[in-house]
Amino acid sequence: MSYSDYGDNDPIYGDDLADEDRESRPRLMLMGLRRSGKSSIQRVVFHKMSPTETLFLESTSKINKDNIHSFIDFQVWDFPGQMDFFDPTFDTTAIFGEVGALVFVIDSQDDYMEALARLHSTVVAAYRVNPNITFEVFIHKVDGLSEDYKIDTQRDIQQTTTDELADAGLENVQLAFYLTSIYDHSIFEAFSKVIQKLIPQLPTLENLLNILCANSGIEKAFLFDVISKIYIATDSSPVDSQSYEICSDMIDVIIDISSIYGRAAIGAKSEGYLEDQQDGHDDWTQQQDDYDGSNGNSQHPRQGTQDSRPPSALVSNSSRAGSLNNHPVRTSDNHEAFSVIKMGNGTVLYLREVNKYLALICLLRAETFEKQGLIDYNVHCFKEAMDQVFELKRAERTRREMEANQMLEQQQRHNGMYGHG
Amino acid sequence: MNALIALAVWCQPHGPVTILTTQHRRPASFSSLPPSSSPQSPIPRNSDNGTPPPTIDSSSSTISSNSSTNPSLLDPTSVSSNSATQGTDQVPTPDQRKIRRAANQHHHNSPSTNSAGMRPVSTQSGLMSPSTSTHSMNSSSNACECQFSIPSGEKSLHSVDPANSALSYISQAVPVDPNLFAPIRMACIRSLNSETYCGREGSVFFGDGMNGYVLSYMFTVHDAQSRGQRVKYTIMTMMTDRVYLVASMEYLISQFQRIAANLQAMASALSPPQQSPATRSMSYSSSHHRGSIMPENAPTRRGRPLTDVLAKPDIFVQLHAAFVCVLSNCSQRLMERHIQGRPKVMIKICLNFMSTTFRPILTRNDRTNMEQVFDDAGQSILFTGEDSDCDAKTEIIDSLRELRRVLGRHKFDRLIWNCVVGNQVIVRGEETRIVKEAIVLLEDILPKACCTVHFGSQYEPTYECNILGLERSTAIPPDMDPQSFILLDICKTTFEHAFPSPSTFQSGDQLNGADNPMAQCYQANWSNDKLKGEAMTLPALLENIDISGVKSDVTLEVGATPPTPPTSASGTLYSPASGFKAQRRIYLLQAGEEPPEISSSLQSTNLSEKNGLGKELGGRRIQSNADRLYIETMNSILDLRLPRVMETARLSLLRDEWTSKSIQFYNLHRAGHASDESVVERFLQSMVVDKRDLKILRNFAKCARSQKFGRG
Repeated sequence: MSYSDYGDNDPIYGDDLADEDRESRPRLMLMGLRRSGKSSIQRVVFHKMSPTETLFLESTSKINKDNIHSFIDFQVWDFPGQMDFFDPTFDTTAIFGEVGALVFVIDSQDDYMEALARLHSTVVAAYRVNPNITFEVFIHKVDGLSEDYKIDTQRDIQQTTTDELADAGLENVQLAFYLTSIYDHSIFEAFSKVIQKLIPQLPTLENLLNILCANSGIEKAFLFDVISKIYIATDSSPVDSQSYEICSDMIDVIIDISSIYGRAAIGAKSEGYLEDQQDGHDDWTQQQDDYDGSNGNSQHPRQGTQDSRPPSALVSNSSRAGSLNNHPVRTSDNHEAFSVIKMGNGTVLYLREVNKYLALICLLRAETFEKQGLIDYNVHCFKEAMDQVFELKRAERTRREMEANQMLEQQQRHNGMYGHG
Repeated sequence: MNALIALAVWCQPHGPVTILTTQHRRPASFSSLPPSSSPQSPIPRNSDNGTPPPTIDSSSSTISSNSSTNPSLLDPTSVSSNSATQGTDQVPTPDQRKIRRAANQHHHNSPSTNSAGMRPVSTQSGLMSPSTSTHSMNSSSNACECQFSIPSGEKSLHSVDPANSALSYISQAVPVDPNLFAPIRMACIRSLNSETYCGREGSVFFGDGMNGYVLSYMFTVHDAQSRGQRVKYTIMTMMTDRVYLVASMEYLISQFQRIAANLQAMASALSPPQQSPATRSMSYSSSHHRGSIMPENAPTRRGRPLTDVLAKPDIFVQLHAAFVCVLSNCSQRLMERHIQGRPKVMIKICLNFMSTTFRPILTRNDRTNMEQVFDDAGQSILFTGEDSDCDAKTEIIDSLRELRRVLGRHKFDRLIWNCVVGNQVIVRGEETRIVKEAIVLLEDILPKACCTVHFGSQYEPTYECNILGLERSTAIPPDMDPQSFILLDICKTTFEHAFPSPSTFQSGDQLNGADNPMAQCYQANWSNDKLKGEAMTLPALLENIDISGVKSDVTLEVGATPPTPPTSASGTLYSPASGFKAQRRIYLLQAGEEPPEISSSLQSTNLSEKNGLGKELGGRRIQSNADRLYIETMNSILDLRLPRVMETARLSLLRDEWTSKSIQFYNLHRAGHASDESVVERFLQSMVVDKRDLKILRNFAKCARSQKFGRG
């Protein structure tokens, strides 16, 4: 399946980075006790592993470093839970010096007192090494808990942890708590919020989305990372998990369909995506277009929708799936992925590719959607603004590369004379 | 051999844990063990069983102070006769693990000591019984269930080496010597947690001088009840001797591979017919969503010991036997020997010139003599001429340092100077190989572009080649400017009689003293040149192998008397009472340009350090390191007496440095500033080059230019 994997990390061999790569790449560390679900989270979110498959994961014995190439490049480090990496024999500054976020995973179905003790020591030690780390706590495996119990657990954990930290004199350390499970979208949502903290452009992006929503009558807009289905920004109206889920499902649908009806060679596209080239993403686009062309029956898309619907959260919506009117529209003026799904309850899902990693998904009322030209235009403006935002970073990077190249050339010229001999 | 083999596992609750270590037991502490006597002995440890090593005693005392249960710790000794081992008994010592892993062991210790004080421990005497207490407060001090255990309940296994009965081996969960605990723990963590290797199975070599060197072989064993249905194990060898470990690496890896394969075979024999991952995932995803795991392969919370994983209660006995076998064979394979002095690394710089047609000229007797002659102060070249094929290697001049030694520093300086400033270097000699070696050495200090080497029987003019190797008898045209070339003659001579005392040498005899071998040699050489008369006037230096230092040098001025042999030197050198027959080479250096400040270098070379200590030259103080002369720098490198590899590297670094300097000089030249004095001076200052070395730069740059032009 296309886009199923970020791909360039071999779980066995790990991944070694060149030194220049390592800098300015935020790190996201997954820590926690053994068997709390760190590797599962990493696999499910970034490698599209099916949640049931995670049962068969081996115990992690090494720090598993996973490079994510996306709208921003970052690393996910999966730690073995058995080891204490704050031991003086480990180079803690090398490990924690540059970290962006530390995600501590707690198994909520287990007795979490030991985990809390570990969390406390981890936070204290990591804060000492690097006070800039943002700490996130995933209260994990909540799929097995009842709603009340979930809330109780969260409150209990939150209370205990903050009290202990206050006792240790670290009141100013902010911990964020999330209830997560790999069996539904909560893990993606939590990860979205974690990742958002790593994006320096976030306020700009949110502002842009706000403007877009206000001017186009859009109820809710998400900017999605297509591969991981993490949303990296949304407008400032409150996020309800259902709208997130349906958007996430829409991406699944689009990708599924494009991989079924895609014209381009299937083998090429998964590689192409990662090789940082535009063609890779053009595939995505072309598949969309193809699908639009061959769109005779709406049978397949509907099936896809049903399959990818999570059982728990979206029951009401999926019961209406039969009446969904999938209506992907092709706009021929540009060469980008574009899809519109009209749902039975009068809501329209509007997907638009922003760049090769990102897609904009909007939820809006059907009556607003009558002015589709206006929305198209506004989205077009939004995309241009986005390009400008990321252009800054790209310019910075190319400038640095040019400098490095120049240095290299100079050196070569320097030593070149006898080099021919 | 001081080695240790350990088996470690990635345990589910504890992470990396060492489960079995096998090591030598010091012969002193282990008297030969009669297996029959020990079961009956009620006080086994002090009587017939050999006193435990002192380290253990000390640790036992610490334990007894800690442990509330039984301070006496008189563990019974028992022998369980195992086919795999020669003698198995329980080591009468408390484990060090008790130090670390407090709670569990105390529980274990009390029943065993109480019940078994008078009799051998028969069965599982409550090992691991109080597993509830292990999961107590801090996770680090818990004993792990994965650790070594055998059905009879002993905590260690012994074997006597079949080849050497004084040698015995002991296996237990932790090393006997508590000092080893930390290194082993580190190696265990490192191999299981940090090191990466290819695939699921592989070996890694790491370590340092402090913690020992480790060869670790990692593999996985199928276990249906553990996560991912696999358990990671590693077999580690730890030694302090890196060379030994590397030398036995191949053997060790092959053995470990075999052991690992055996374990894997045992494990997979237990598992039901293999389900392919595809079908497995299908069955699970098609079944209920949050698939409840079947009880038979539900991952356990606790680590499973290897005995359970393989369903072989005596697996540790087998492992012990295997490890002992490896250790014993390994120590028989290679013998460690202490060698005095630093090892000699012979670098064959000139392999390409060593054609097989060159026969060793000297007989062995001669050679040894010669080598003794070559003996330099402090550096002994002792060639153990055991086998005849080392003949070819023994007489080489394989490094600049060697060349300097045989030439003497003064002449060496001159030779090098003439070489680097671009004068033609002519090496003549009857031993073509030696000539070639010398040339290769000289060639090596020049940039590639500056070398045109020619061998032959005819003189070639300097524009054809700047390094010329000639046969002994080849004449050199008489009309050459003595400043533009340097001639190195290498001749050999045999002394049939006792070495002449200094008094027999008369400088006047030099030219026609027919009975003097040295003079003969010199004369024969000289008369063959039609240069004779002219060369006499050259500032020629005739020098023997220089041993006692440069003080014996006699520098001749132009137009002075004929060269004097270094009588004093040879007199002191060859005075050994034996009066041996000596075959030696004589190195004659003639013509050529004087290197800068040759007189001062003469004096300063007599100093041990050649750092240019406050040397005043030309009214200018030479900084210690900053702008030393090229030759000085080279000499100081050679003075360090580094290993050959490093010396070669340093020298080539020096060459490259000067090459790059000359490139910049060449650029200066191209820009048209090379004739401007002040610009050049500033340039030299910026390059940290002494003014007198400008000639070298000029030469290097010239070569580079012509090379470039030639290239078009």
